[in-house]
Amino acid sequence: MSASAAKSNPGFLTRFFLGWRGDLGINQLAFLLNIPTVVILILLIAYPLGYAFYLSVHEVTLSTLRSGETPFAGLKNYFTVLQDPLFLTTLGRTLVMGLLSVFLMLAIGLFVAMGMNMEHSRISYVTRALVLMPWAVPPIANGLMWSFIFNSRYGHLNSTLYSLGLIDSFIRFLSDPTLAFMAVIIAYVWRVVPFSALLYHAALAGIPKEIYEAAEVDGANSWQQFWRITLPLLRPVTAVLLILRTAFALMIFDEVFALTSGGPGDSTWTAAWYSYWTSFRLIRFDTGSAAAFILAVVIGFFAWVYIRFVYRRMEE
Amino acid sequence: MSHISKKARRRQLIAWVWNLAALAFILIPILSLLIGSIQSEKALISNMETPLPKEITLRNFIVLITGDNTDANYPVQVEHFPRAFLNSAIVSLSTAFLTVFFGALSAYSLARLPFRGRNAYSFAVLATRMVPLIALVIPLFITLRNLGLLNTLTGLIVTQVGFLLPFTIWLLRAYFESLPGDMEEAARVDGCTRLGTFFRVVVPLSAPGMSATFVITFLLTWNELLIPITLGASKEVQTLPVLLASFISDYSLQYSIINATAFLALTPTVILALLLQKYVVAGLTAGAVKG
Repeated sequence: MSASAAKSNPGFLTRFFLGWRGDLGINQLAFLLNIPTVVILILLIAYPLGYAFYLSVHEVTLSTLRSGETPFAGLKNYFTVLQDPLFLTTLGRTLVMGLLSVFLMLAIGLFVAMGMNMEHSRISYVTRALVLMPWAVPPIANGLMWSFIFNSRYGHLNSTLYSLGLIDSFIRFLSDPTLAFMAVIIAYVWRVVPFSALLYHAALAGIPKEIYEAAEVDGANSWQQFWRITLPLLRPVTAVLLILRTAFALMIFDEVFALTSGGPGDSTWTAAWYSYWTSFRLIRFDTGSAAAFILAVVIGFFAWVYIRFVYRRMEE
Repeated sequence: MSHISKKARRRQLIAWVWNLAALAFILIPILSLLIGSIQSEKALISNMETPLPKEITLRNFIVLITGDNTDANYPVQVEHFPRAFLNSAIVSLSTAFLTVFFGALSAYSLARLPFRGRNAYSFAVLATRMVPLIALVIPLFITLRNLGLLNTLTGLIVTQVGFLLPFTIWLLRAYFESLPGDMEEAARVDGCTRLGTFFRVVVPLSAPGMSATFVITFLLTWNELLIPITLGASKEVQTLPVLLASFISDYSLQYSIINATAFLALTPTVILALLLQKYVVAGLTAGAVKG
């Protein structure tokens, strides 16, 4: 009696997961499939983010961590960071560096993509085969590679310029604030060009050839075709790249670490470097977190624009 | 007729010059690194006037691969190279496997199941991708320290999985959406359950997409610096990027050996990316356009 009752009245969990005839409903299956992801994202992203906020409104140094008492500090850490001239110049520099890098990435990426799109020539296949290379290089290895190229004692940029007779004595690229700033940008741009090259190539390949043929019949030269046809049609992909890659460029860290470690002086400090230095060199987890949070808000603005853009495109 | 062929020749010439310039941009820095790593430090210093190598030796690579610390001319880091390489391999393979496994489950539900709250959920997943890593490693450092997971491979794998999962979900979701749905419908009509359809039909069909995602996550983990340098900087668990970063604080930088280390660090990922180029490009393009 009781056994048959159990059979006709399966437990809640069994019914929830298996439903009728052992099949899962859409909501149940989705729930089941997303359990690991939700647990992982809560433990490793949501919780740390909340904890970072906690750190940023408390006094957390090595000594307060040891004693276990981290007194509440309100917005003091944010004021400390926002009143630090170094942080403000660093944040401004990060924005300039990010935008300059992204513009260079877009320009060079478009150049590479146009080469890849010249399918009438065999050499374009070589470019297409090798375009991913910079993307695959570890960023810290990339930074060290460029620090060798820019090295003032035996770097290859100096030796090349010297052997061509363009300079008389070696230039100390990484000891000059402006040149070091440019060096970091060049190293970073080299690594991220594949992103723009690949996306631009996909977009260029999607433009029908007939448009160019018609333009040619109408007497438009290559220059006019580029400005009047190609560039306007690339506008959507440019927007995606501009927003997304700027958000990521603001997080630049590895190339700064390897090339200059922020120097000379503080001329190549970036926001992520400021936060890293404050937290892990000065062991000020509170102000370090506050700085990281301010960076997160700036990046969040770009992310918000990007996500809205993506959703609008997905609805279309 | 000759006018057309002249025009075609001009087009060829432009294409060659254009692509050679693009290839120079891509290849010259790596070539420079290679030239800088196949010479001894002495040869490198004595040959400052020209970038061409004076001698060619594989000694830097051999010393690194064997972890040979007997030669006092080399920095101490060389002895840690084999261990760091192994650590990188363990962490990257584990992370790639776990993210693709968990990511596929979520990505499938986002691509194929119109469940309640799907839009809000996918929005949340996309948003977590944009959290800057530096804001996460500071609290994770304290948490892992309290849990005794600081300077362990487990701690590194767990944190990397958390950070890469949203990206993996986004890549795989785009891939699942690109699959035609008729095989799944046929399986459903034949009486296969939804879960059975996923494991018996969707998983085998999406082997290329999953492999591409595996390669991309492997590569991103292999290349990651900020997580291991803050959460696993000790000699026993350091990965290759941490080993590379340890050269930077040296009093005088020996670029011959730094270049060789950097070259060996980039070789696996560059080879993987070039071999699986077609899949990686498809994955990255889908991932970047849609998320």
